[in-house]
Amino acid sequence: MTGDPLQGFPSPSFPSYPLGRNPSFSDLLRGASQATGAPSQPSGSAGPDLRVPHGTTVLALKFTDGVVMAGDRRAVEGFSIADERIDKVFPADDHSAVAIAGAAGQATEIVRLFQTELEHYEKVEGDRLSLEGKANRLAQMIRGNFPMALQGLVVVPLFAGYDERHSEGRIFRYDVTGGRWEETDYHATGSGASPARGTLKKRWRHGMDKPAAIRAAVEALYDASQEDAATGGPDTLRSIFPSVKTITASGVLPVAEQEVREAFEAIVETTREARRQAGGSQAREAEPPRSAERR
Amino acid sequence: MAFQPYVPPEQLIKDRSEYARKGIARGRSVVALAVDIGLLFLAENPSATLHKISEIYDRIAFAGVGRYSEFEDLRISGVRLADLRGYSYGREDVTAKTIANAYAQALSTIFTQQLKPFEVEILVGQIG
Repeated sequence: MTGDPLQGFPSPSFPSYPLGRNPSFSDLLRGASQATGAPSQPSGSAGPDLRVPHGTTVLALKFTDGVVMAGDRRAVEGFSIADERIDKVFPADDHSAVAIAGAAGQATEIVRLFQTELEHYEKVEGDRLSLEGKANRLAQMIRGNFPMALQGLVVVPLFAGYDERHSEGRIFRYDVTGGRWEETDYHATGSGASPARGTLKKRWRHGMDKPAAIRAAVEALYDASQEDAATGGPDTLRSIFPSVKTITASGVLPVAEQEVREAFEAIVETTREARRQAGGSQAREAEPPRSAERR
Repeated sequence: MAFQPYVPPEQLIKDRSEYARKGIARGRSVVALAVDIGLLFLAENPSATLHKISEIYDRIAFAGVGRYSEFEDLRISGVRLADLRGYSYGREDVTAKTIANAYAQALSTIFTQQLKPFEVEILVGQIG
């Protein structure tokens, strides 16, 4: 007449949770896989030749109502393009989203686990985690992936959400060891991160409105695609545009493709206009070799 | 070795179910209705912190009456089962049937094998 009264139901791997119930889904999952004898993380080295799809540039920037999060659509396997329409920005729950650069398979799995983790917590506790709590939980999950990162399956996310308790958008960045830092204005991660950050540095303004923030995000990704082979640029012919989401008090909402297309076309038009105004100056710049010949 | 008096199984079951029924009768009722847009769960609940009605999964809800700590254990076990199923397979593979069967198994085991039966009555509802 002893033992677990609720045998047959899954239970977390740490029954010795200090007091009360453990609201963590990943602990529950670990307990269940231990019970079924499923392998945990593989050992050994994958080596540098392991070819798996890698997602590339993602970014987030704050605007008046919250955060705009965007990612290019390309995944690469070594030097070839694995996917041209991959989405790297995922809603984590109603008020937060995670964008991931790195090994695509590993990344989507971490996102799925993170989504379930937040949902599970909310149902067990009857209350949502704070944004800080969500960011910390994600850090622990990235730290948990560290053995895989050592084998080449690096996953580096960007986490952003609308903090309902402080009524503001917040951005968190991570490193491969699970280090977590909060960004004040904007951040980009992935292979094209540095040109994207360069653009955001020039374009970001305090108190930007939504269209301006979307335009800055699209421009940053466009610039990244010009500098980095692994980042895909907008493709008007096949209608491939960056995936952009806004995170505000009203939730995580995808920005319509038409809006992204218009932002991109506005950038193209501005660039074209600037070149037109510069007029012959660029043509003249091409002349020096001839004058050098004359000498 | 301790001396155990013989109790006929019929008597044992009767005593236990009587005990459980008495416990449940002290609680306040929950009503479930099928309405045009889905299901309506209604409970009289004097507490703002203890939940008698809760979400188990996308389209599955739970309600319990009786001893709170006991149906809360059942509720959390249901949430765990549903989330684990949904994560391992797919969101559509989580059904009230699976959860109701697991509850039936658990409650039956508790009723016969534990020192004291659970003093609870629970409802599981699913739409779609």
